[in-house]
Amino acid sequence: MNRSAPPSPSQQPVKSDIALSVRNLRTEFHTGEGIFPAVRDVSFDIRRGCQLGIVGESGSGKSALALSILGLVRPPGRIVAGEVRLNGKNLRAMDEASLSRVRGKEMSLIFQDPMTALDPVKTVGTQIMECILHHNRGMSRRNARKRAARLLDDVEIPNAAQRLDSYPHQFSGGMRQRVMIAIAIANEPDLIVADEPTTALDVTTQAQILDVFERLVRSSGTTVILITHNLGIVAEFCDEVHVMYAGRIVESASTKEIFRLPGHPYTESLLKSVPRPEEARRGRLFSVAGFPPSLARLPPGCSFEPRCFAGRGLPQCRSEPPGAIWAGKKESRRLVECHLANQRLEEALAE
Amino acid sequence: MIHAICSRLLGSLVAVFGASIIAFLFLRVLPGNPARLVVGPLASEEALQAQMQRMGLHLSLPEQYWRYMSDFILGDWGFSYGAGQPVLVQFGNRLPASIELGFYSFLFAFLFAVILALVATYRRRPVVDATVRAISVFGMGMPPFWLALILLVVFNEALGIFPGPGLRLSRSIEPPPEITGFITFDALVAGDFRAFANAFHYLFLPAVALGMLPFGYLVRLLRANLLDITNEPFILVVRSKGIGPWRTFTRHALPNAFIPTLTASGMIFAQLLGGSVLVEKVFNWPGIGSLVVDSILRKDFAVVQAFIIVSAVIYVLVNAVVDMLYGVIDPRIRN
Repeated sequence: MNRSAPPSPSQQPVKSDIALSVRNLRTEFHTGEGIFPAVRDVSFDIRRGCQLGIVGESGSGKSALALSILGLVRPPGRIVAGEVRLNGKNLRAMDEASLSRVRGKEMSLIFQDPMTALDPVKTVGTQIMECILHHNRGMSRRNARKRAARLLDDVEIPNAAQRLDSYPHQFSGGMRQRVMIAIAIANEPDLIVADEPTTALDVTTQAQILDVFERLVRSSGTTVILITHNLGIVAEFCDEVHVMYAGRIVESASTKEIFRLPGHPYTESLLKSVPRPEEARRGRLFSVAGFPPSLARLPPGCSFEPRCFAGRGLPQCRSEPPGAIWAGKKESRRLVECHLANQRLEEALAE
Repeated sequence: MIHAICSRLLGSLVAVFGASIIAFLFLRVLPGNPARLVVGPLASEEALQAQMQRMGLHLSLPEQYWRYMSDFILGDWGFSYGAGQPVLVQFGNRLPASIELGFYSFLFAFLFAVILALVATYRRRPVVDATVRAISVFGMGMPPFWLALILLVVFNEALGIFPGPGLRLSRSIEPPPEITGFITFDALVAGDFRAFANAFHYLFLPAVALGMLPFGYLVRLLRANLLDITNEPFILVVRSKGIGPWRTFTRHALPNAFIPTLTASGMIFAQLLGGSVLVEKVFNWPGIGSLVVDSILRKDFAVVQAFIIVSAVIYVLVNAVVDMLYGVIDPRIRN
């Protein structure tokens, strides 16, 4: 995890330790009501095989970031600046034809709502085979079908070979999400971007799907970006966490550290808003005060300042946008975008 | 499945039955004695009675209906006194011309609607989209007979590249042996491509005139459906598999966009098959629409009666086909 290091051109052809490198990525939505920068100059690297969680409230730019990585932002949104390097190749410099050889092959997407993520008029088998055949020119349909059946078997769908001829509406939500995973891993990609993969499912199904997913990506060493607002899933599944707020990554640290010692006041508020049984019984659920700011009219200083319990009203927080700084010592060192980060971490460690 | 087909069939029969009763009663409630229309105002009372006997008008209404329907099913559709021909013979001459014209109008409307809807939504260029929408409104707002006149004036009178009204095939070309009465079809069966091209040439202008309104409507419908579908998450998922935008559009968006368009297309098709009065009049097309109008003006009600039943049958058949097509293109309905 090194956000401040400049991208070195020499790392380009080498299959280095870094699977994905994002630099100054900016995605804006141009609408009649103004320009909404959903992703604001975001930079980060992901180590190969790392499972990175991106958390944040609705509207914090998580999904826009996911789609920007895949280059699938749709109008009125568009990527206006930045670099996305997958295995050293700059995806932003590629044309649509080259990108279509990378998508589905080197990186793939798992979408939030399994109910609407599959084409309702095509069989599940056709939809898996489409992905296989597109990237394996010359493969026979017979072989593609065999491989599709094996994939359904991998995601633990019973009677895989027969189920290939079923249509999405004949599957439950959980089963459809398994199909989605099968499509995502069809060509053994290096990177899977999973955008809220279990949000639409009930809790038991969520756990099963995550187990299947985790087993598959751990065994193949696939790099994963898991986008979620569920901190429980992050704690269970992710090695590292990025916290997103108003289009910026405001804190990045290892999962263990972020849960032990949140560095950004927003992270701390998020953690506090996870319901605990004893508080829930007393009818007191913590929530982050206020609402996320409109992206079209961000505060001049820190975008979290109006809601921040630590820095609200402080002159520096109000007027000066905080850059990413290294805060904390030794193992608890992490990148935080907060003027008060060092001071707060020291106080917390002293206790 | 069997159950669904049976209940469908029953529903269709009820619809045709209802139409036949309306057609039958229509003739009885109109003022004036149909027999008098036949024999003329100067005929004697005995002649009138004899004609009423011949037409079965002395029987009770249910008996008359029974007789009319059984004759109809057996192929005796009555006699057109105005034209001096059995109604069935008249229909045999006129109906194929209308069905053929209706078929090509629909073909024109549907093909161009699909193409323009694709053009309007594929790249999401506002200018292109606005142009397509303008064309669609133009198509829907233009009265077909007026468009027919303009087409004739421009392409026949001024430019001379399309034949004028009155014929389905040039007199200099030998008509293909009649099998169905659809000249283009018969020509293809006979392998006579010259006759096919010629008949198509004659069909072109009236088909465009008749198809413009349904074309405008279908463009609008398809464009809206395509926009809806392309915003669905599954389109994004298809793209994330590496499938290019064009293939995603034609293989995934289009089939899904067709589903809600099917019912409307069926209704339009059925309506086009039933002939059009004004366009047939302008092109002097020997179709069923102009025959029915002439018959109404001549009070030749046997023709009108048969027409009502025939168009009911066409609607019912087309709707049955539409239902079957739903099963083909939408797996959610199949089960």
